[in-house]
Amino acid sequence: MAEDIYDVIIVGGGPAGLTAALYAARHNLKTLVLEGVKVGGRALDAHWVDNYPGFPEGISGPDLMQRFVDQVERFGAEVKHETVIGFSDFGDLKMVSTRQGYHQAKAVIIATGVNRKQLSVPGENEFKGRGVSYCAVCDGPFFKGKKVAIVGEGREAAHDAEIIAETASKVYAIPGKRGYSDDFPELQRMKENPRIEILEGREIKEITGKDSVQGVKLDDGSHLELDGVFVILERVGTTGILQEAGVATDAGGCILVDDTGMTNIRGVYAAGDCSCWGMQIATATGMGARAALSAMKHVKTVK
Amino acid sequence: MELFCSPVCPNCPAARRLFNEAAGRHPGDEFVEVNTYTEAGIERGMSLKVMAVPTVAVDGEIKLVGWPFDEKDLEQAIAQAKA
Repeated sequence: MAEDIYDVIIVGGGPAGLTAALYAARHNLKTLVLEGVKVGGRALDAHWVDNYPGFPEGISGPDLMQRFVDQVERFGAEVKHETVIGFSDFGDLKMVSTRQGYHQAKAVIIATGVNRKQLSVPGENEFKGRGVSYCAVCDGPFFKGKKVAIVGEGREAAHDAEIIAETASKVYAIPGKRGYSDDFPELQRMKENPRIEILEGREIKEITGKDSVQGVKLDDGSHLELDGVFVILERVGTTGILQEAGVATDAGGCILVDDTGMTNIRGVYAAGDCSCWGMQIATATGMGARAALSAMKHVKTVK
Repeated sequence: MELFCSPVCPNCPAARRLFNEAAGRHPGDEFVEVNTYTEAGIERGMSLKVMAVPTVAVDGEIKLVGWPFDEKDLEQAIAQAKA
């Protein structure tokens, strides 16, 4: 088992993690990236990326991420394909456990991203593209003057409810049994918006329709007539492990960071989608760079 | 042949590439991109009951909805329309 002490361990090999690795390795920090699934993260799902600066003709997600990997490796960062199963803070040293063993570092940057989830109720797959959508900004305009539900407990769902309500006749915001994951600024505005009705404590049990969505059945037995259902559910990867280790998150699992990218634990940083901000490759890289720069300063303080 | 797409949809650029390649293979047919980020584009989409992007319609009839679809799917939709 590896007894080497790294300067920085980066958990997650998406845009934020790889950018953090680039900055750390380029400054001669002994850097390890742990990625249990596939290096590149959710950006690999982007068939074409038109909004990442420096590529005027656009570039495919996989090609862009390969360039990230090449650049990171050029500066000597190690990338290991290991799934993280535990994290412990021992003050100046942090221990990251994986299925293969454990690694130690002076600083840890969490960049585990989020996984987009399905609602997993009857009718969801049947009506995909025919009223069921996972992208409010893409498909919302088709629901002008119509009734829709926005399902999700996170800030993105709250934000999307406000956006859709600009054109839809009625928006039912359904955060689920536990309600919204935090007291987002959007919530007060939603409560004051006559087109939005927040249905807390209820869940969708079935999406119904014929050629397209016509409604939903709720767990209290009631039925809502609808034209569309927007599913905006996200979960931060490895949240449970981090919460057990004492890393502060909001109720939705989004990792809370300060202006330097540091979590509530000294020497532990978070960047990218796992801190639930931006959800773009460009924002993730910026946050990754910020976390790495902060980690560099921290590493100098550890003997 | 119409492709309904939006500049804010992450899968639309890939759909546009396939659509434009198909246009190159069928120079005698009309291929139109409909930008659903415009009022006119949304109205056209809603008139055909389009509810998601990307969507491909042939002669005003929806053939492919959402992503992914591939070259074979597009060619099949074109062949069905010509049959």
